[in-house]
Amino acid sequence: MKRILLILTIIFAFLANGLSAQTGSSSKGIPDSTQSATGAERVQALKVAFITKALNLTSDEAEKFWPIYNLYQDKREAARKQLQLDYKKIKEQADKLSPEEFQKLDEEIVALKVQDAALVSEMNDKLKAVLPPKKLAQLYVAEEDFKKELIKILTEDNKKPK
Amino acid sequence: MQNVKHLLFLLCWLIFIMPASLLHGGVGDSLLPGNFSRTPKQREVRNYIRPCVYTNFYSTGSRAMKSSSNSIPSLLITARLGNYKFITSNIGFYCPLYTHTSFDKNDSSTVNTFHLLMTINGLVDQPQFSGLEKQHKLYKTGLGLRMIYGWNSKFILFVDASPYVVGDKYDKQNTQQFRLASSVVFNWMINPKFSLRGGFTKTFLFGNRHYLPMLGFRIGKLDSKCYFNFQLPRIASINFQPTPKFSWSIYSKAYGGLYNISNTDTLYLFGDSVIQFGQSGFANGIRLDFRPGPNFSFFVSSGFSMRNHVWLFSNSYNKANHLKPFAPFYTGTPDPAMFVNFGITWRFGNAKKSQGNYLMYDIMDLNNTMDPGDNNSGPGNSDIRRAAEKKEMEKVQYKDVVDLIDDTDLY
Repeated sequence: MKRILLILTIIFAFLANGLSAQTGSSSKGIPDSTQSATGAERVQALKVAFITKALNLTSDEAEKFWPIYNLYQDKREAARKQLQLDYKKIKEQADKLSPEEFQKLDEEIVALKVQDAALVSEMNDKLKAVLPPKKLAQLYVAEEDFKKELIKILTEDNKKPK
Repeated sequence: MQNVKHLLFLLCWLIFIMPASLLHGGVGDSLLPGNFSRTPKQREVRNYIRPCVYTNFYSTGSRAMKSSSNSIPSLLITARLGNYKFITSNIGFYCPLYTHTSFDKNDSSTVNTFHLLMTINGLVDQPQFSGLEKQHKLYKTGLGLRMIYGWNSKFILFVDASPYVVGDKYDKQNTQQFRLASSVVFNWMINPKFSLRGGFTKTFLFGNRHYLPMLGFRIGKLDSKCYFNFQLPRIASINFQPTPKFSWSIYSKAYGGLYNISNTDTLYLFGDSVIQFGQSGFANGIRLDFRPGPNFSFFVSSGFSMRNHVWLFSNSYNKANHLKPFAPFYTGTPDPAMFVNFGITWRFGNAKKSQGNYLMYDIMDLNNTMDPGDNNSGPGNSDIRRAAEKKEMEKVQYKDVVDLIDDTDLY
């Protein structure tokens, strides 16, 4: 009994530290994301299937493409989530923030947008060694088409009687 | 009185320790005033493998024990033991301690990953002999480390060390013994549909101390609707994944272990106070896996356990057997019996994206197959989602994509 509780305590202690390392810090009342875990996973899986089909990736291309693409998507996602937090802060604390704090937020927002562009550029350089120029250009078209497909589904879903 | 004490201890743990440890992980700025205006920094996720806790329960029906030899001592022990039933339950855990992602020096388009994980395992094994007055409750607890290195988009090196302590609750002080199980495996992903594995393992899975080669292959993608997996000496299975939430498999896998038991039953008549109990068999059955989401899954399984063996070893006789398998003073062969097996897996936290990355899928499969503690009862591959189909687009909801869509996308 004591052994089981000791094991569970060690597990929870590591999980607590592991969770804070993995999700990033989050202050009270501001959730990291409104996405459900299942939904986010489904969207990611759909994106992989969509892009693989759109680019007609060969087995060799896919082996190298996805690790690089996923790596930079994670970096871009962290920047995007930080942007969402900044937007939320501006919306919710518009009356409380000082001009200096607004300026700091402005600079941070611009820096994050510049960082996103830099990450796309870096990813593009890495992918040049993996994909031919045509497929690399088609990647960006595929990303936009995927977003449009999602919007189309969501719009159609909104129009359906409930 | 003892039960009341245990219950109070458990309640104190649930009320104080568990919430305290969870809250500590979740709130970094708890001492700062509530109106302190500082935007929390969103950090990039570091690990590919998520922390995982899983539990497993396995039980067979009662069956006759047969002696493998016609010698009188063997027949006497068989008569004393009576019918045999086996129940085991275990809890396992792994958690990444350190992950490093880098581009290959020679080829900057190749991503290499290094993973260092901690593993914890606790197991209770209850062999039940109808002829013995008091049944033994054997335990095994361990803390281990494993290292996984994936490189060149094709290769994986897996190294695991699982030290643990075994003992018998009947006589903890005298039966406790330290053991070490370990494995080194090399995986070559020839292409996403075909993988080869080879390596070596020091294992007690077959009821004795063995140093065995490991050979295996997989045909079919890990996120496809069907794949076949053959990992000698652990498991052979054919897996079907009709939907992301449900999968099933037909399998044959080894089970067993080597434990210390108190000789208060005087099964060994030559003075040992502690003897060793080894058991092994093959569980052949069907398993149904349910995966409601990426964080939680459970399975149920049933079938027949066959080629069962039970051994008893003398501790003092085998002390000189430094590296060789132990020599038994008794070998029993229980009849085949039906078994039931079920388990639950929880996965926590976020991980780096790995969908479409088949080498990472192989890393996860290897990590899940080589379970902590050398029990061959791992958490399953619920961290590898089956590839999406177009019809799943209809289930997408706004909250799942709110981060991806900009207002400029609407024009």
